[in-house]
Amino acid sequence: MIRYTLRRLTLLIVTLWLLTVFLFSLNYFFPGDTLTNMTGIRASDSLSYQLAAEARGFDSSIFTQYLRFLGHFSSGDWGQSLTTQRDVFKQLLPLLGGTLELSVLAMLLAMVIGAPLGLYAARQQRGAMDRVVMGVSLSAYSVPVFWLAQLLILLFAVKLGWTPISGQLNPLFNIDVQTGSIILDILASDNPYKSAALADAINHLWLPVIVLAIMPGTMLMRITRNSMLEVLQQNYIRAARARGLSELRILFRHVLPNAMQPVVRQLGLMFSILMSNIIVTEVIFNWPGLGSWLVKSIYERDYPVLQGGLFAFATLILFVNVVVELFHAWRYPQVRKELYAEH
Amino acid sequence: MTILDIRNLNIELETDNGPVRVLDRFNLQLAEGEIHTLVGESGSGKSLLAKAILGFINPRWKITADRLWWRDYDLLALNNAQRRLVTGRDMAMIFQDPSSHLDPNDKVGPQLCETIPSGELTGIYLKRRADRQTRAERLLHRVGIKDTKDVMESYPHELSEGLAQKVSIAMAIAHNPKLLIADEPTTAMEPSTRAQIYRLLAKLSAGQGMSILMITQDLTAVVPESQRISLIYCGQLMETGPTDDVMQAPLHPYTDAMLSMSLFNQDTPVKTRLPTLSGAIPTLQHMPIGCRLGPRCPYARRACVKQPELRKQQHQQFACHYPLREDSEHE
Amino acid sequence: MQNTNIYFQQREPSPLRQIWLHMNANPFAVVAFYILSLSLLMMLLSPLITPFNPDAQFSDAILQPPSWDVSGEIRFLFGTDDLGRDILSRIIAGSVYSLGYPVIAVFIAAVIGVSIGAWAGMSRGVQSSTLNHMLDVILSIPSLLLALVIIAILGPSLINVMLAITLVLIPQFIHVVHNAIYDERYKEYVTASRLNGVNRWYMLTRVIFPNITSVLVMQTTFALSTAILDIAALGFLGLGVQAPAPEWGTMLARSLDQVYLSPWMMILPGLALFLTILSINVLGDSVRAAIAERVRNS
Repeated sequence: MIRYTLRRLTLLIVTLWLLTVFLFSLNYFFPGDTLTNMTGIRASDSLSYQLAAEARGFDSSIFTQYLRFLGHFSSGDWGQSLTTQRDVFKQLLPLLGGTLELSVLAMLLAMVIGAPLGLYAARQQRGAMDRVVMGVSLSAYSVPVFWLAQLLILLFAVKLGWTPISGQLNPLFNIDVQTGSIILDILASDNPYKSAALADAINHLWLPVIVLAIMPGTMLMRITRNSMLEVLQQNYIRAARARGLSELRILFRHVLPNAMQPVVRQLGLMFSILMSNIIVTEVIFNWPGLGSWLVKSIYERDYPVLQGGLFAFATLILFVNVVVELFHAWRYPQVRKELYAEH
Repeated sequence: MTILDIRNLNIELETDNGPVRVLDRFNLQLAEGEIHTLVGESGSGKSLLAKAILGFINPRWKITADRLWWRDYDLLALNNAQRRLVTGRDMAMIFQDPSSHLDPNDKVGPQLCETIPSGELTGIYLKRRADRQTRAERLLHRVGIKDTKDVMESYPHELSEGLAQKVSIAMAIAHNPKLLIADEPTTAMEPSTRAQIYRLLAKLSAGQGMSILMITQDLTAVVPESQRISLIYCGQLMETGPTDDVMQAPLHPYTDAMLSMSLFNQDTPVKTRLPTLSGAIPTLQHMPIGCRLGPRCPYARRACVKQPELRKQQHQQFACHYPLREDSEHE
Repeated sequence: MQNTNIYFQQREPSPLRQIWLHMNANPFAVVAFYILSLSLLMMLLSPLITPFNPDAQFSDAILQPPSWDVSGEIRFLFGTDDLGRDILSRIIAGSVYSLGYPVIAVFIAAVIGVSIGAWAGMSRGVQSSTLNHMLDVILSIPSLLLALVIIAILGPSLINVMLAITLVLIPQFIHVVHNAIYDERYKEYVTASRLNGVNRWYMLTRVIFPNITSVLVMQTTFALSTAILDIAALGFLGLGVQAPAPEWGTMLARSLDQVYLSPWMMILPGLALFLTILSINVLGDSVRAAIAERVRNS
């Protein structure tokens, strides 16, 4: 397991390094001045432009430039925004919190709903409920998230008026942004109207979370159901029955852990899909997170911000994937055997 | 004393081309403490028989029998839960690929521990847990595993097939079953491991009066300890009787053919054809009527299109109109 | 059923026919098949069957509700948008952008990706597992994000969107085909035909390919629904096909401000998008199930 962990972590580091090379070369691909793309300092501001050019090694070879870039990048100097002139890295952290809040809640909701429904469907195999659950899951899997979001807004916000259309919190509450996660921020603040603010935040929060949870939730449902059915046919389940173990014991000790294996393996993919949906959803709900920030930076051709957002997204996804894989290999040891047997 | 009594058991499978009778009027009697070997080619329905006894029944199977009794229970009259209670308590089974019958994501130790019936343990939780552990180790010792700690800490994929089979046997005997069904337990093993497993099973049978139904493909694998033997072809019982009698003086043409096929005769002249039955095993959809051996049987005559009744001659029973030796005084 | 010929012979239908029969047995798959065929037909005939020019603005009928609404008009079956353009015409014309272009993108990506993947899978040099794992990791980054970066470099336009989607899909095809071939090439049947002395081309096309069709079918349907979704999402974000073009995602984006006044502007194009993707997914799913069943039965 230690060997496996080290290999995975090395791979992660190498991938992250490749990502920095990619980011560096992006500065040359983007239209406009390379140094401006990198630092966000415009050539019109000639003094700082000169200084930046010197600091970034723009008078020497491209390798020096890359090394300097790497140095600045790893020390948290990600340049400044072309439009707001604010430091990209400092701006990024609270937005990351906002995105994480949405994604973690959506993922939790997806698991709470998806896995039990999948189990239920597997229990009723080929029955009416199974068909209904599977049909709903395949349809929900095909709904474009931006359409779904609009439909739900139309229903819950416009027609029923249960929830605000967009945003994170009523600005009147005046909560200081610390982590970016609105619930944590409210809990950490000493606002006199804490509970009212919390209620308002949750009121803003639940609709985007549901929108985001639907796709991974339905995926989870299908995977759980299929793997349950698969596991129930396995020899070791029949053997456990032959040994006279109780049905409950078989279910909890042998069926569920094994049925969860493909689910765990797919969690990384689910998270990637969630991230892709979160970009669009944040734009629709006007949620202050990485996704809406990234899209806005593309509109405004704000390349330093774009790089920062891209790097944050990619790192987050890679990191989650590696963590999922490590967990998978730790919990399901025969996977490790397969991996070693490759060599 | 007969503990398992099967009379005229039929199993029909629903297929796309109508029902197929995979087990046709099958008979089997098993006495307490005896090792009974069931010989049949692949697809002859012997594994299905094992499943029918244990009650792994697929809803698409239709099972009928004049009698399917386990000791005092009529197995067909019990509902699923009662039946699992009886079979789970009294029977156990080991399989041909043992490692696929162990949960791949659980260590061997816990899997072995959980098969020990909790009714036999007393005391508080911690003591029970420790007892389980020691009993599991003792079980492994009994099946001939020395480094029990190592094995219990392993995952199934880390064990060799022979070791995994020993572990399955340990699990099977954990609750002292009266009947152990061994479905080709040594197919994928080396001869030395195979011998070990057979010796172990024979010892267990003798030691605690456990009956064993040994299912195997060919006659060479019949162990010397086996008291009785049955031959099955395409779901029909061909011949049954005490092992030595059947092996030495077969009455059924099929038994004879199997014997001459499997025993490599030293005095066969060089470059002669090895004896085989002509033809091939029919597929399930195309079973001949009457005696299913009919088209392949060298002695088949017109009467063979009717299924022969089971007849008894001394200790042997056989289903054939034209046995190899007619016992005249009995006739 | 009475068999007229005496010698009853059981005929196994051919593999393709088996898949077809299996799909026919599933009513949802049949419906999906018809919907998809219909929308493909609609796309091909779109210049002929649109009732109006999709860009024509009827200043007398702005924000007209669909015809089944009380205040609707039969002239505009699905109503009109805020510039008085006929929504039915725009949906029909939009299928070229939202269905036609993704099909082309997937086709190009499949041709390039499968060739490279097959080459990589068959040659020994590119089989380093590290490289493979690396591809694994990189592909976990969602396609929309990669497409966004490419759009940021090239600027939003139809051609660039096509380019971005194709570029994003190619590595997926490479990866899937490479892995599938890699899994197959050490199986016994492949070794057996290698020992028979078949050449590599024959081995690839006749021995290995028939056994990875299910993977290919799955990847193609997956790529198609990804492409449709991504093009629509880019259009929705205003970074894809540009505004006057009746692309479904762009239409949805436009409806975002109108959702109080005229919900049909949002519901109808979205429904078209949803039905298309759903039918592709249902078809892909049932083809996969059919192939899996065939493999299990054999």
